[in-house]
Order: sequence, then structure tokens, then C-alpha cells
Amino acid sequence: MVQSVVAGNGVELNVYYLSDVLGAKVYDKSGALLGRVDDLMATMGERYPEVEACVLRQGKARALMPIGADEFLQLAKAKRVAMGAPPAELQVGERQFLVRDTLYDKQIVDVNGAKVERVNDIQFFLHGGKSFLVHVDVGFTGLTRRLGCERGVRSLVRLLGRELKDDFISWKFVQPLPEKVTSPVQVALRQEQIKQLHAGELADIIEDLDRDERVNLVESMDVEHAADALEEADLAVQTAIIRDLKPEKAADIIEEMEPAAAADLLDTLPRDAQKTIMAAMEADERAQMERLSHAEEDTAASLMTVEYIACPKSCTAAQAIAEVQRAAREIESINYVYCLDDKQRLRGVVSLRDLILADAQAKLSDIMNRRLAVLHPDDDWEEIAEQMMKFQFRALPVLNDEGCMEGVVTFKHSFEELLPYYYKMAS
Amino acid sequence: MTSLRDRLINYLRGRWARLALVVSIVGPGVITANVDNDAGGLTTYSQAGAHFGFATLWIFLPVIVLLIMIQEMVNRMGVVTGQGLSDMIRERFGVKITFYLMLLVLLTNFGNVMAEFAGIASAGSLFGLPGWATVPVCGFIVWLLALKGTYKSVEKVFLLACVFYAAYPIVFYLLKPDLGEVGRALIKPELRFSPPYLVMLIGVVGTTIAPWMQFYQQASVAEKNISIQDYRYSRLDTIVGGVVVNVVAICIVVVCALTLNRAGLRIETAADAARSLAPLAGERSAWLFAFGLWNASLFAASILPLSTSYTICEALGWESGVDKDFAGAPQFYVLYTALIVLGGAIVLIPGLSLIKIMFWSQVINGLLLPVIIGFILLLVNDRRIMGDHVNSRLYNYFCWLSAAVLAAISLAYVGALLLGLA
Repeated sequence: MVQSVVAGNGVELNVYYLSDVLGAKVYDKSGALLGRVDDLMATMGERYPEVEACVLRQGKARALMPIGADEFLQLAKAKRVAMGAPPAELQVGERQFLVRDTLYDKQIVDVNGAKVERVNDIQFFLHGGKSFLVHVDVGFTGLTRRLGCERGVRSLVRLLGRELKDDFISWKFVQPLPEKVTSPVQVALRQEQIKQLHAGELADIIEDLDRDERVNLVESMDVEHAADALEEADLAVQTAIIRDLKPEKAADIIEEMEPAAAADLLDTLPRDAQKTIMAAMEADERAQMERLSHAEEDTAASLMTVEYIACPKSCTAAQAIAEVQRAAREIESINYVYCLDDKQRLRGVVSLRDLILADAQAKLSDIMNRRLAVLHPDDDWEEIAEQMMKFQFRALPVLNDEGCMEGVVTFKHSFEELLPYYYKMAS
Repeated sequence: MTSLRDRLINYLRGRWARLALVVSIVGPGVITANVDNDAGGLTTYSQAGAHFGFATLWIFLPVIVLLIMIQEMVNRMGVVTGQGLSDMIRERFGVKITFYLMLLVLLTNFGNVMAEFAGIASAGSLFGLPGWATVPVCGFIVWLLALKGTYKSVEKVFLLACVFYAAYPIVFYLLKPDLGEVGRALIKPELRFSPPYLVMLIGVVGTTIAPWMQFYQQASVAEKNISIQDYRYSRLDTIVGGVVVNVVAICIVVVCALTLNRAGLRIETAADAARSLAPLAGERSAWLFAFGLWNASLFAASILPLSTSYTICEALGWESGVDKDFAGAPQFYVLYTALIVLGGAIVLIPGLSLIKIMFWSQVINGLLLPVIIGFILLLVNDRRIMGDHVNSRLYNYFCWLSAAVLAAISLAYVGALLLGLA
């Protein structure tokens, strides 16, 4: 249905939908049928993709027909148009994509609402002799339009005293899902969109997708972003994705993940997949993983992370702050600096707050808290939960029999596992 | 050098891991097949035997092969694409075709849901319980089971209770039928151009290869994330399920043919069908049959409405899932609840023949089946979707031929109706 809307600046825009032009007939000047509109070719622009050509189908053959805004309007209104130029061979350029192939009836990610949606129709604006793809329609209205009963349903709804509401997503927030490798052109399409999503939202979206879509999406994301999102997803989903990725990519992502989460993930993989991925990892990462994944279940060792900040207790506060700044890029838990003696044994803890407030030249051994709350690698989860509740620290160090640090259990990363115990203690 | 003990342990570990894997993959096929022997199935097979003796037996061999082939195809699509069937149909054929197909699926599956409630009511009446008590209570239980997410734990109980089907092979054995006669009936096609006979054939095919099964199995396989390397286990699952369900079906037909048909009895109510189990359970055969029917109906009733709602929401792009609340997935909840409430309510209308509801819903299954097979064949042979996992040529010939034969039987029936033979 072609409509006219008046934009905010008073300019009148013609609006049409993909469903209006698909199947419309294109003739040459002599009146011979060149074909029916089968798809539209869009070129990525600064804000909205511009539609400059349509794909004609004649039997099994497909050809490209450059087309202007006026002709588009005719196609949408009269379902037929006569063209002077002959059709050209169909080729999809680097910044171009086929609108129907990529979007129509497909699933997309609505980055604004952080949801997976099914595209019912696609809306274009005609402006200044050009046509732009501006919205995808994911609503009921789009569905009725496709079924050819929009007017009927609209009047019916009006009879009931309501209005049929449109459900559009602006192109700004549309993230098309990358296609399988069979159509390599689309893979690079608009990766920046997905970055607007928070890792937790992205994890929800990944869980909502089908298997291929998941794998393609994760494959197209940068490694760090993918690792953050995966960490937040359900473990079964993590396993399924990692298993389907190439071992090198899987290894890269696992290396970026928080070590305890990575070890959990590796543990759930089939043995041969585990081996190939481990082999693709860097040596020090691999050693760390092996240590973590051999930990007994339900112990501190299985819950801890090996990423923490430690300094010799002879350091000054200034040196320690420099160390925190250096390490903070890689390490998530930076709440405490652990102070070690010359035999690498833990002697005290300085909180980040105390460190910042301390005199720059003060020795760590003078400002550190010597009364330590510690865990043993074999402590079970209930004991850990008790300690966490008792001291309310953000992280507790895990010490072996020699008094050296094996890692830390952070409140945040152990929260889910320990929640049942907190709950039990609270009630 | 690794010690013998270590090697043994490693070997056993590998074995156990393999076994655990097989167990985790097996399921969708066997479960789908067992749900397939639902109220409609039990009724249709019983009637086939009671009303036509051995005359419908020949359809089972082609049906077994076709059932396994169809379920194998959707299984393969689930493993290869990780997508549901309605999802694939939408992406490939667009919204218009999908919408009307979904409408048909909805109506057909609604018929099946009604059949399950009819089964519950019939089973209840054999226990002496009135329908207005059993149907609402069971409907509510079913509704709650899925929404509270407790269905998965109850599923095993349902599966275990399917041991009931063993009653038919046992009666079969007790009756000592002439195996030569049964064998001949199985392999010698018998064609009658009479509407009741054609309807029975459509019903038998429709209940054995019900359209909801394809949507349900592909969705459960996709959800399980089975990798293509482990596909053979998944295929085995499908084959075992398909064979078991049909062996039971053949036994039902033979048993009813020998007990009811020979005695000149027709099946008008569940009590008539129950009589076929008399050689095993004597006086208590009504109770035994009621238990089996009740379990079968409840099992199917807890899967069908849910599976139907998922299928339709997936196709039309509506949010679905019991992990969302009503505001998050309104269409899903409305569909799900309406299927159960309406399905149960219609069955309670006084004067309706429950047996007829159970039978005719299966005939509608049979009429829709050739259409679904067509869609499946177009999808499974699309190299852009399936890559190298498309059908072989022989496989395609057989499937297209079967779809054509099924369509022909359906058309023959419609033709017979139009010619006034009915």
C-alpha cells in the first residue's frame, strides 16, 4: 500500500513496501515483458541503504534493472512499468545486498529492543528522487499486508474502536543475521550494530537463535565480544556453539573468556573436541586450563579464577597502583592486591580503596591487612558460601598447603553456583 | 608405558562416554512414535481390524517404510539446519503459503487434541467416571504440566506406561492366529473402491504418519543440538521408533480382526474396543484398555497443544516459549490455552460420538499428509539449505510416488463422495 507521510521538516515522503513491488511487471518500450520484480538491490549508505535497482525474473533467469524513484512508485502503485534501458547481468557488489534474500521472512536482531524478530515486510521512503530502505515491519499489520487483507483487517479493528498499530524497527537498529558461507557477500554486513548490545542481552539473543544463525553470528563477531556474550549464555548453548566453530576460532574465544568459565565450558565438550581446541590454544593458556579443568567438582578449585593481582609485600603503594593499572586491562577482578613474601606465600591483602588512599611511598607490608580470610582448594561450596557470607569480601584467595596462592574465588563469578547455599543460610 | 589397568579404564571411559552420548541422542524418534499410538491411533487400528478384518493390513508395510523415510528426512533437516520445520517453510516459501498451511495444521491438530480429550473421556467412562469430571481435570493438569515446566519429568512416566501396548502382542500370541494368513494379508494389496474402506485406509495412514509428528520431531531434534557426526544414532532412534509403533499397530488390527470381526461386532464405543483384550484380561479387559487409552491420550494431550503453538508462533514470527510470561508471548499462550479449553469443551457436548471424533481426526491427518510430504521433499532437496545431505534419487522417487498414491487415495475418496457412493 503506497502512502504519503509528512516528515518532521514538512517534506512529503512517499512510502511503499517491498510487498507492493514484488511480482510487479516490467516491460520494455515496445511492450514486451522483461520479467517480474523478484528482489531489490540496495547499496549501503551513510544512514539508510539506497535502492537503485531491482532484480527481474523471467523463467529461471534473473537480471538486474537499474531503476529510479519515480519508476519505483509506478511499480508500487500500478504494478507495472515500462523501461527504456535493457536489463544487465546480476552482480552483487561489495557494499550491496539483495533486500528480499537477506531480510524478507528472515529473522533479524532488533538491537534497540534486544530481541530476535521475524521480518514481515520492508518499508521504503522516496525522497529527492531516491528511495531508501528505512524500516523493517515485524508487526501484525505487516502480516495482514502480506496476506492481502490489510484494508479489511484495518476497518474491522476500527469497528471495534481500535487502531491497527504498526510495529516498525528503524534500520538503525536492524542487525541482519549473517548468512551461511554459501553467500559470502553478506557476511560483512553491518557488524557495528551488534556492538550496541550488552553481553547479557546478546547472550539472550544467541539463545533465541537457531543453530546455524548462532554459529554464524558468533563467527562474525570479534573474539572479545563473542567471549563476553558466550560467558553469559546457558552452558549447553555455549557448548553447542563452540563445538560447531572452527577449532582456531573456538580456541581464540575460550582464551578470551574468564578462565573458570572457560574451564567449565571445556569440561562439557566431547573429548576429541576438547583435544583439538586445547591444541589450538597458546601454551600458557592451555596449562592454566588443564589445571582448572582437572579440579574436583564442587570445590574451591573448580570455582576459582587464576586471574588476580599480586605484588611483593616490599612494593610501595605507587608501584602497586601501577601494577593494578597494567593488569586491569586483562583482569576483571581488581578489588584486592595480594601481598606475597619472597617465598611467594600470601602475607596480607590491600583493598583497592586503601591502596588509593595510602601515601604513595608507603610499603605494602605497612598498609596491608594481615588477618586473612582464605580458602583451601578442597573446600566445598558450602564452606565457601559460609566464608563469603561471613566476611562479605568481593573475593577470597585460595591457598595451597604451602600457603601460596592458587587463585581467587570472586563473589560475582561464584554467585550463581553458591546461590542455593546463600539461600539456605538466609532461611 | 601405560599400564594395562589404565588402558582398560580409558577404554571403558570411552565406552561409557559413547553410551551416554547415544542415550542423550535417542529420544525424539522413540517418543514421537509412542505418542503416535494415541487415542486416535488406538481407535483407528481397532476399527480397521473390527470392521474390515485383515483387509487393511497390506497398507502397513508401505506405511512403515514411508513413516521411517519421512521422519528420517525431518530428523536430518533438524540435525543439519538446527531449525524447526515451520521456520524453514516460512523462510523458503514466504508468509502467504506458510499462513494458509499453518491454518490447516492448526485445524488438523485441533482435531487431534479433541481426539485426545475424547480418549480421556472414553477411558474415564470405562472406569465409571463421567466426562464432565475427567476432561476438565485432565485438561487442567495438562495445561499446568507444560507451563510449570514439569512436563519433562512426567514424560518418563508416560513412556513407562506405554508398556501397556505389549498387551496386544501378548493377545496376538494367545490367539495363535494363522500366521500364513496374516502374512499373505500383509503383502497382498487389496483395493476396494468403496468410501468406508478408502476412508479407513486414509485414517490408518493419517494416524500412523500424522502431520504434527514431523513438526514435533524436527523441533525436538533441532533443540538437542545433535552434530552431523552423531547423526546415525539419531537415525537409528527414528527407525526403531517407526518399527515398534507399527508392530504394535499390526497386532492391534489382527487382534481386533480375530476377536471382534469374527464375532461380527462393530466398535461404537471404547467398551467395544476393549473387548478385544478379553483373551488376556478377561473381565478386567475394560480396565486394562481404559488404562492404556488414558495414558496414551494424556501423553499426546500434553505434547500436541504445546507443539502446535510452537509450530505456529515460529512460522509467524511470534514470541513463544513457556519461559516467557503472558505479556511476552501473548499469541503463544492464547493458542495453547484455546486448544486445550476448546478441545476439551467440544468433547463434552452431549450426544457426540467420541469414537467418531477420534477416527475422523485421523482421516483429516491423512488428507493433509501428502501436502506436508510435498513441502518436506522440496526443502530436503534444496542444496542451499541441506548442502550434501539432500536425498538420493531413489529416496526421492519412492517419496514422491508415495505422496502421489496417498493423494490419489484421498482424491478417490473425495471423488467417491461426489459421485454419491457414500
